[in-house]
Parts: sequence; structure tokens; C-alpha cells
Amino acid sequence: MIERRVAHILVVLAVGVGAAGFFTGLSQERKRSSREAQPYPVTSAPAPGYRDLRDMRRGPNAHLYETAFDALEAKLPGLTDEVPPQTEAQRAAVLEDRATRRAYDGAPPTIPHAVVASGAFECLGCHARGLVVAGKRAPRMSHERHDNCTQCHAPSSGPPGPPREPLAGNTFVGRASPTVGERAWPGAPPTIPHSTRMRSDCGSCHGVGGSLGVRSTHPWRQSCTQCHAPSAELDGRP
Amino acid sequence: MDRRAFLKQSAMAAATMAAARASFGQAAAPPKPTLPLAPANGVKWDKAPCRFCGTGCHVQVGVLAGKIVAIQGDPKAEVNRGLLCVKGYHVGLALYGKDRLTRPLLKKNGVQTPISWAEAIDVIAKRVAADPATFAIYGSGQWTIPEGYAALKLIKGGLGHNQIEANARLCMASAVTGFLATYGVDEPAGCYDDLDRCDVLITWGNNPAEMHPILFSRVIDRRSRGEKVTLIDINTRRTRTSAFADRSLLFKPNTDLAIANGIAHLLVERGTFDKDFVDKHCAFRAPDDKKTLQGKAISFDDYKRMLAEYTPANVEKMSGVAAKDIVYLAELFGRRDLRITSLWCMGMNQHTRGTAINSLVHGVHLLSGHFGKPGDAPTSLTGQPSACGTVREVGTLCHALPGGLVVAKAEDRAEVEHVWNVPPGRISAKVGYHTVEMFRRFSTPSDKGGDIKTLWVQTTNPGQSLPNVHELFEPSRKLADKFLIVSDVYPTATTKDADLVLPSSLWVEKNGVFGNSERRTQQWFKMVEPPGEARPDVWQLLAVARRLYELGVPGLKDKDGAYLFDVKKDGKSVPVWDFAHFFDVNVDEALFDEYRKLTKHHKKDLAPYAEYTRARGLRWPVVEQPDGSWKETRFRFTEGEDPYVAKGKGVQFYQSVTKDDRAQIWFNPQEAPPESPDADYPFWLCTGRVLEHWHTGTMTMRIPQLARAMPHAYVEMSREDASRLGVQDGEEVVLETRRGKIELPVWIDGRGSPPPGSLFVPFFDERLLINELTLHEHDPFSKQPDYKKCAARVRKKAKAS
Repeated sequence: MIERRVAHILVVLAVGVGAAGFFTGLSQERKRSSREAQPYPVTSAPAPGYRDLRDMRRGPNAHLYETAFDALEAKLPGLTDEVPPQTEAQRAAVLEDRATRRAYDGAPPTIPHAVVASGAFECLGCHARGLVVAGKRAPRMSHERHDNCTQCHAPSSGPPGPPREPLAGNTFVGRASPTVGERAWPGAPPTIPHSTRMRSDCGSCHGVGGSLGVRSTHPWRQSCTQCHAPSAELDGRP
Repeated sequence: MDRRAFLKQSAMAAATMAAARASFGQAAAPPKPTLPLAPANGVKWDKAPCRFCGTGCHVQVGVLAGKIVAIQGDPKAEVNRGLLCVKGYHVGLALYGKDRLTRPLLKKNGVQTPISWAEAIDVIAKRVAADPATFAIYGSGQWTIPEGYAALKLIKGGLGHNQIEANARLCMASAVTGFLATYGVDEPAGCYDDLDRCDVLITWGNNPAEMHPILFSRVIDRRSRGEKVTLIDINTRRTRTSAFADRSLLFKPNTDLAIANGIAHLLVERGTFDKDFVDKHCAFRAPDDKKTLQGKAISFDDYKRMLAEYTPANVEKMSGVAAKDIVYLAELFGRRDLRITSLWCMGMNQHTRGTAINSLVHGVHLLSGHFGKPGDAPTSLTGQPSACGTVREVGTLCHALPGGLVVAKAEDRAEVEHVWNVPPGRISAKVGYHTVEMFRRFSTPSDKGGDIKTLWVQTTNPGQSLPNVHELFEPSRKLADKFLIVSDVYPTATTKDADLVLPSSLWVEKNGVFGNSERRTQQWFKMVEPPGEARPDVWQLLAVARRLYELGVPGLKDKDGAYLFDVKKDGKSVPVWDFAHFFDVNVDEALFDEYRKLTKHHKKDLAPYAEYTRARGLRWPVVEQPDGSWKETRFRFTEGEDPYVAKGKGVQFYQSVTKDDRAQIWFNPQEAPPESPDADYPFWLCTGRVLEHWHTGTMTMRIPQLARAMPHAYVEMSREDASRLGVQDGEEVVLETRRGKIELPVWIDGRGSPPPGSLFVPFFDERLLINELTLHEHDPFSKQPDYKKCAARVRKKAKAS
């Protein structure tokens, strides 16, 4: 009996606290909007209110993961897990996909998804460590940390509004994507077939989360250039 | 793995890829690969400063089979240390838009018709020879130094008047007058090295995260390496820079003067200003009754009295910035243990009180002694690659001569006449028309005072970038006796109705020298051929000059009867006006080495051309050392850094207007802007730039990766205003000012977020021309128009009936 009474009290308390919180929230929202109707509120940057959060919805990339929480939890393979066999066709597909995002080999890739337009640190949420979401790979940064990501990486869509044709086409022909490294003899470690400028982390593409076709068979070995030689010519070094 | 498993896996992979592509349905179709691709090997690399903004990054240009195939950040460049921005990485593509201009076009019966270069040069020269006084040249901060110098010498030395201007008038003229009023000489004392040392970075109406991203990264990357740098953003809308800021202070448009005065007031009131620095190195100034740039001297007590009304509470009332934030700023400036750098650009310059606010920000730094030590600097940024190098240093303006000399001073004219070997009196003392006035007269019928009849525009796009183009530009296209010549690389809003269009070489299709925001002069060599018959702007100028000489225009001879632009190689004259011989000699080197003789007077010494071919730029003054090497200067007016500061002085403002080595700390009052929102036009309208596009977008809108990221202009609006007006994100609305109207899609919480009552529109889009709406009211000293503030209204588009 006592337990039931305690339970009742707890329920009443919970409802009470909830209701108080709800109405406080509502009144804050009301106060907030009346203040924001005044141009140039006397304040430093305000935190978003409940209504702002509601209006901001879930962010433009929510569709990538909202239906895929199971996949989100799928772990990346371990460093020593067996790597599935890889084919030339897979490599070709990776390289083609790669070329679609670059004006030339060495250009910073464009962003294949929407970005939060005014954001700063959003990119690092996925790309600092790298992860796989719903079958999409968010590679970790291949270079040292730079926070102003959109400085170099352009999104692939602009502001909302009716679409407009480009002013004119462009005849630029960019330097080709790398294909495959040279081997001195069968079984020798291949040379690095691409520029290594701003690519301090080989694991970004070739590590355990890397696309099949270019994934390393021995990701536990971390000192890549010990065996794979870069090219001064491709790096544009004198 | 057996065959079945392999097939299953391939099918899965294909399905996953298809599904992944489908999931991007909301964006545009995935970008197509740029095929065919050039081979990866055999690329030749050479250095060049980037073609776009005033930061002055160095790129390595990769050339294969006569075409650019790749770009890299130059790791040897001190400015950018191997990194670039998205425009810089794609700068090579700027040359390859499909609609490059490739032939001279002369308007015949209303149609632009291809003609030969010889005919084009002849048409210009005959028009100019017939009436030299009504001929003007309008260039830009995208002119190379030799181009600007040749244009200036043609007008001021050849034709004997001063009708030359450049679009930098529209972007940094107020920075120049601010420097002149404060230090007596133009251009920043500090440099980018300050960004590596500052503890506090204050951005005044500035968004470097988008507009000077390399400089911004230089600061925020210090933070990600664990250093503490406090970022304070003082702005009229939230931007990407605000997103990184520790404090983001929103102020009411045009009230930045109140904020600066509020800081100065507290420094004085609390005695936290740097008394020692002020006593030794500063004096006080205020506007005089005649409203001169020099103003009048005032005492410290006068200064204190004038600031008295700018209490934190009053400043809060005027500006909307909380009193506690004004106190916070004043406390920072009051600390001697911090290094504070201020950055600003168009926000302070495109301002009817631009000179005043520039002087005030310098004043706050001087008053608090945050000056002259690494990390302690008031630094004005520029938007064009050679706004400093060409427009400010060469002086392609209606009042200026090279190296900081001016036409108003007899001794300055005499000095330039001496170097040019022209007779005394050749250079006119009469100041020409500033940009707005030049275009007003070009757009006014000749019999009604429109005494500019032939205008040659090079390297810029005034048909889009002038304010209020309805009044300043478009009427000229309907007047029969006005003749517009435009040298450009692509069809633009300016070439559209031009009488003569000349195809120009772009960037590494010619030799060049630029000067960036930190006094750094940078050189590059031609690397690829221009398309069709496109030719360098400097050749175009020299060819017209030669034709004028042949037509007997007297000014094209020096006082010994020799051709004014004689270029010699091994003692023999080279006919560089004949394009076949243009590359027989490095014309840039000849012009540059003549120009540098004029740079010593104001201690803006440049090294010989050859030194720059070996360096990634050098910051002037560049002074020869006893061992024959050339040493650049990082911090001007500072002992040990600046060779012109006397020993033992510490800091010496050796070009002081008062000739006593003192800089001027100004008081300028807060005043109302020329147009403010009212019942009819209730919104503030601000215009500006975005990361992906440069200037009027003529180059960047033709680069697929940039155009895709930002395909069109928009109007930023607060969520509150949008919901009040019942407008959705992306909905097209009618935006209207007293000068015009356009239809634009609304972007809510887009690239930036203006507060309620404010709107923002970028100006890059020639199809959505915001400058049909802007105001051409300008600063009284710099003549720079205010693109950042006017009154506007927005309404929903009427439903189609």
C-alpha cells in the first residue's frame, strides 16, 4: 500500500514538474519572440529558443541517418579484421566517384551533401574521426585540422530558389586522377600514384573505413611511406 | 569467394551506390566528372599570386601542353603557407570559360562587329586625339602595377590632365583617407604576422571567414593547436565569422562610430589609456568648420570633453550594443598584457562616414598603445589583388601621382616630370573627377555639362559594380556622342552595350606584378597563351599611346622629342607597340623599374624588378643592405623593423601631418546616415560578398565548382520578418528601394542571419543586379559610396492571374 502511495506521489510530482517546465518553456518562448521583434536586441549572440530549434527542424542532413540508427551503430572493422577481396571494378568505381568531386587531381573535393550554411564546427562531427552512416562513408580528414572547412570545400548546392542556368560552360581540363601505383616487380610495394600534398593521413581513404577497391590489406601498419614512395613530380616539389 | 557470392556482393554494392545517389535527391544532380582528364605526369609548375582577392596568396600553377591543369597552394609563400581557399584552388579555371572574348568588337549600326586590332587601336587614338580633355580611363585594383603605371603616365604625362580613376575608389578610398588623416601616409603599419601573435582579434563589420579565409584560418588554426585567441565580431548581421567568435556584438547600422567613441571614452575616463605612448607619439584632432581632411588640433581636455557623452549607457542607446559589452571592449584595450589586432574591410570603408570610422579605430589603438608591437595593430584589408599595389601605390586616381605624391603639390609634379623627362607644367595641378562624378558626367549629355565623352574601362565591370547604375551608368549607353571602350576577358554588364570591346589576356596569360594588403609586392611570368586574339592590357595602352604619337599629339613626346614610352633593350629602342615585338623585351620590367624611382619620396621604396622574380613577394619599404641584398619591412614606424625609424625612438611616425613624428588621434561624432528606414521603406538593406564569388562574379560564375555552390543571389531575412510577411524559405519576393526593384529568393538562416528589420543581398550576380537599388551617397573625403546602408521594403510577389 505504502509503495502504491509513494508511486502516486511520484506520478503527481512528475506531472507537476513536467507541466511547470512546459509552461515556463512556453512563456519563455513568448517573451523571447516579443523581444526579438525589436531590431538589434541589446545582447550578444542569443542562444536559440525552443521555437528556433523547432523551426530549424533537424538540419539538412537528417535524412542521411534518421532511418539508419542500426547502421549508425555498426562498428567499423577492426585494424586486424580480414579485408574482403577487392576488384579492379571497385577501384574504377572509387576513382570515378572521386573524379566527380574534383576539378583536377589535388583540388579540394566539393561537398556531396547539404551543409549547415552558417556553421563552423558541424563538419568535424563526422569528419574528425570518420564514420560510416547508412552506407555512406564520411572519411576522416586526410590533412591536419583546419576548422574553416568551407574555406576550401564548396557545397554542391546553393541557396533555395528557382534554379538558374550557369552563365557559360568551362573548357578546363584538369590533371587526371591517379590510377595505380607502379611496382618494381610483382609483389613489390606500389609507389604512391597521387600527390601527397595535404594528405598526412593515408587512413582517411585507405584505412579500415576506406572504400573497397582502394582499402589497405594491412591497415595496422601505420608508417605508410616506409614502403610506399611518394612522387616529387606529382607533389609539385622541385 | 565463389562466383555467386561475388555477384551478390557486386549487386549489393551497385544497389547501395544507387540508393546513396537517390538519397541526395534534394540537391542538384551529382556533378559530372571533368573528362577527359590530362595525364598526371609532365606538369610544369611556376609561382604566381592568386588572381582574386587582396590577401595575396601565392599559388603554384601547373601547366601541361600549354594549358593550366592544376593549382596548388605555394608552401614557400609566407602569406598562405601552402593553403588556399576554394576560389584560389579553382583560379586556373577562370581562364577557360567558354565565352572568352577573342576578337576586338566595334559597334556598327548597333551591332558589335569583329574588327582588327589595328583598326581598334586607330579608332581609340583618333577619338582621343580629336578631344583629349574629354577622354578618361577607369581601371581597377586588378590592373597589374605596370598596367596601372602605363595608364597613369598616358593620362597625366601624355594628355596632361587627371581624368583617371579606378574602382578601388569604391572599395578602399576611405581606408586611404583614414591612414592619411591619422599617420599622414597611406597603408597599414602592421602585416599578417600580427595574426600569429595577437591574443585578441576584433573584426569590425568584417567577415574574413568568407572574404579573407586564409587570414581567418591563420588565426583560428592557432586555436585548434591549443593557443588562446579571443575573437570578437562587431557586426550588423551574424556571419560565418560570428560562428567562430567568442563574442558577437550586433549593432545598428551606421553606429560603429558610437562604439569606437564609447571605448575611447572609457579609456580616458578610467585612465586606462597608454599615457606614455600618447605623450610621446600622439596628438589629438577633431573636424574643423571647413571640413578638411586635416581637421584641427585639439587638446587632450577638448578630446575628453567631446567624448563625455559616449558613456556606456548612451552608446547602448545609440548602437544597440549592451553597455557591458562596451565596458568589456574598453577593458580589453585597457590591458597592456594583451596584443590586440583589429581587422576591417568594406564594412568600415563603404560608409558615408568611412574616413571618420577608419580614423577612430586607428585612434583607439593609438590611445591604448596597441600599436607597433607584433600582434598589436589596426589593419585594413583590401578586396582586390592590387588595390594597394596599383591604385594606392602607383596612384591611379584623379588626385594622385606615383609613390604617394599628389598633383596638388608643385614639388611632387616637378619630381614626376623630372623622372618622365617631360617639360615643366606637363602634369596638371587640377584634380580630375572622382569615380562617381566621372560616371555622372559620362552619363550626362555633353551640352548639359557631361564633359567626359570617351571612357576606356580596363579590368573592371562598372556596369555592375557602380552604385545606382540606373543613374550613373545606363544613361551613357543611350547618348549618341558618348563612346565606351571596354577591355575585358568575358562579356559583362559593362561590355554588353559598349561601343568598342577589346579582348584581354588574363592573369598568367601575361606578365604581371600585384601588391597585396600587407604592402607585399609580388611578381609572376606569363605561363600560357591567351585565347584567340586576346592581348595584354598594357600592350593595348602602349599601342594607343604610340598611335597618338604618330598622330602628332604633342604630349606623347618627352622634352627631348623622344617617344614617352620608349622601351630599350641593349641600348636600342624596341617597337613594343607592334605586338609581334611586344615580347622581345620584358615591358613589365622596364615600366616597373622606372616607377620604382618614384617610390622613395614617401619611403615606400621598392626593390628592382629582378628581386621580385626570386621572392614570394617583398613588403615595402624594401631597402638595399650593405651586402647588396634587399630587406623588406614587416612593421612600419617601429624601431628595429623599419629602417627609417631613428635609433632610440621606439616608435616614430616620420610622415606625420604635423611634422613632429606624431600620429593623430581623432574625435569624430556619431551622426545619422543619409537614408534610414521609415514607414514606407522599413528595412535596412546591406550588400556584400560571399566566399565563392569574387567581385562581380565574371570569373567565378564561370567556374562550375563555385557556380554550383552559389548559383544566384538571394535576400537574407530574419525568421521573424519572414513569418510576419508570410514568406517561405526560397520564395521569390519583390525587393524595392527608392531607386529600383528586383525579385529575389528569400534565404532564412542562410549564409548569414540579419536581425529583424535588416536584409542582406550579395552583389555578384549580374542577373540579379542589386546595384540598381543602392545609394550613391558618399564619404565627403574619400568620395567612396555607401553600399551597406539604405532603406528598402519587401513584398510578396503578386500571384499570377
